[in-house]
Amino acid sequence: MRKPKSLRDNKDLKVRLAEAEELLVAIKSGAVDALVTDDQKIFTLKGADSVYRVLVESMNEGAVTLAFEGTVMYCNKFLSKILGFSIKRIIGSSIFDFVAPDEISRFKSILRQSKKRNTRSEFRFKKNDKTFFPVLVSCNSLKHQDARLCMVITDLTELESAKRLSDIGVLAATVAHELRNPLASIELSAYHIKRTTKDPRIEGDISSIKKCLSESDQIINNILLYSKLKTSCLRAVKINNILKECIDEAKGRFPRKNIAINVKTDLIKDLSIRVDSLQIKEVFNNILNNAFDAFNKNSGIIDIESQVNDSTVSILIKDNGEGIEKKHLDKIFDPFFTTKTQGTGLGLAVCNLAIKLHHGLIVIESDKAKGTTVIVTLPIGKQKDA
Amino acid sequence: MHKKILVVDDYESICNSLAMLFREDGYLVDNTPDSSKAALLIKKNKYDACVFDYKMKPLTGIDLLKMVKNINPLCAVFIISGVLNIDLLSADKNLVSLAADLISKPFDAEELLKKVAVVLS
Repeated sequence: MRKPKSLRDNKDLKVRLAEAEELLVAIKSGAVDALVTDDQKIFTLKGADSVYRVLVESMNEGAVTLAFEGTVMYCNKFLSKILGFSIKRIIGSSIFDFVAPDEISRFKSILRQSKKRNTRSEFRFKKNDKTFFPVLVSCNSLKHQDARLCMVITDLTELESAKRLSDIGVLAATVAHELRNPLASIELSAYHIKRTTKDPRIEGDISSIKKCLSESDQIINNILLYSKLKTSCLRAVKINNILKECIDEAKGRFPRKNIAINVKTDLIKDLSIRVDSLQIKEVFNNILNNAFDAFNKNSGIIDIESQVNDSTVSILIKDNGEGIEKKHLDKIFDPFFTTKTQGTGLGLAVCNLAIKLHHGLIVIESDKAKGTTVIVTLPIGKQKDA
Repeated sequence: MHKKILVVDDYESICNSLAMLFREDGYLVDNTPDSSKAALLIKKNKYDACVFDYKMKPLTGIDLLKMVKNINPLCAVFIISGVLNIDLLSADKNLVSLAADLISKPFDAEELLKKVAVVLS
């Protein structure tokens, strides 16, 4: 005999009530935090939550949640890292402590707007070391929690400096390029003066003009190379020939200095590798210029050696002049860094970029008292001894 | 007979100095900083050698080079340029075969005069 429908429903409901009560106990005890059903599937929030938590904890963007008045309720590791404060120090303090003072009022108005809609805006934040850095702040309110905002903070420092550098690059390239016409004109006039006067008294002046022209040309080449280094045009060339050419030119640039250059590069005499010869030439030019500049007195020794193994060739350029101070060593490849009274500070930056583009390596070892060794390592590639 | 040379560079002092040096060496020289005027001169006269700047408006040194070569294939054309990588220019094979030489600024005046003298002798 079948039970009436209402009784069956009644039993069904009892079973479901029992299930619900069991669940309630589980939630109360903390065994399960909650349940979400998606049609037939059941998830615990705890499980779902932990994925997002890991994401927020480990992402390379700063993340905070704020009370509407600006108190930090939560802060992730990355934000603590970019601000330079511990998480403990940040949580509980006001977010305005980390905003550049002149931008606080704008920041407040963005927070007010964020209650109603998502906002994105750039600000300058203040670090522990009292320096400021640019950030992008994306903010929205947490709909299900009262009086809370969540904020993702992106550090724009690198982006901004890259942009500034590329702007400088374009400007420098334009200036450098524009200088070539007046330089060419000076050269022509100097030559005309030389051949019309034929006066031996001005020979010194003319050669001094020529030397300055060649120096200016070198500066321009560095600036242009640095700003256009993105493309290299590789061709198989004998690396030793480029090196020798550069050594000869360097001697010509420093006629007053009595520097002995010992070249021991027989190992690579016939070695051809694929390089952009223009760029590699500038690399050697710059390293040799630095080596010559390292001699305060007018004498010294530069040793040039080569090493070859299966896949790479290294060229070592050693001088026994004044070395680089320790505190400067990690800055020497920065563009525009220089300790010389003259120079653009682009020499080693050009070297570094050019060698990187060749998938090589440039290493500089230096001792203030003993001198400097620059090691340029380049991949040999498939073809050896061409 | 005197050889005829055309010098075109929109940087006037280069244009004038070069023309003066050539004149002093005994050549007949026309010079102008205006590349459209240069085009008229090319149509009117027969030049033995030309020196053109690369970057000019409205016509570039390359435009002038092609124009001269169409009219007078034997004319020796030297391109002088402030563009960094003369290699980039010379990557254009067609251009290399047309031009007598590509020379980057600043250049050695004496060398340029010698090169021109050699092709005209």
